[in-house]
Amino acid sequence: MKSHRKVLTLRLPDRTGFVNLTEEVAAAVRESGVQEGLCLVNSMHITSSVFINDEESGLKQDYLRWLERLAPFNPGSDPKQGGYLHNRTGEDNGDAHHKRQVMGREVVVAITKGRLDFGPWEQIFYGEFDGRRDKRVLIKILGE
Amino acid sequence: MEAEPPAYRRLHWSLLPIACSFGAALLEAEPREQIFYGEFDGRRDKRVLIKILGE
Repeated sequence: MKSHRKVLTLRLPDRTGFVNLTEEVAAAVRESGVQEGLCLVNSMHITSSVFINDEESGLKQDYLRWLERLAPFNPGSDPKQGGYLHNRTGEDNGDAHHKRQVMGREVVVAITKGRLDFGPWEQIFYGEFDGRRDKRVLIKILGE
Repeated sequence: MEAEPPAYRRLHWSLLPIACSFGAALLEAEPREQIFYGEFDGRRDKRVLIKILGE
């Protein structure tokens, strides 16, 4: 069985944002030489996500608005004032931990005949919720 | 369950036996673990991929 590991480093200029990783992951599959297998893609951080959905700009704005309603940014640590207990550690990213939890840590995509075996509209995205610093995404490919 | 479930419900139920038989025969599943398909925009064909690796 073959195994291939690749790490992508991303640094988003804003606190939140989405990056389409599909072409980078497809390139890693080609590099691996795997024809039949599985491809795991996960964020190596707990304030960012990897997920699959549609490359459509309205949907990405909808997600950000929805996530902001679910877990609004608030650097405070008093829940009575909308803050997060997590921020008692001196951090300000309690909201980002919640946003990442909703959007998920990883995706697994089948590799068939050397290619990512997607449905018609599936694209792989990185979701950043506490950016402006280097973050890493792990791609691990197993198969034959 | 209603006598004549709508198409999107029939699709949902028709997948359950597949998930169950895999759970019993092959997967190392906990006793209560079941695999579900959740539909949120139904009444049209949708596909689920099962990819199995191993020897």
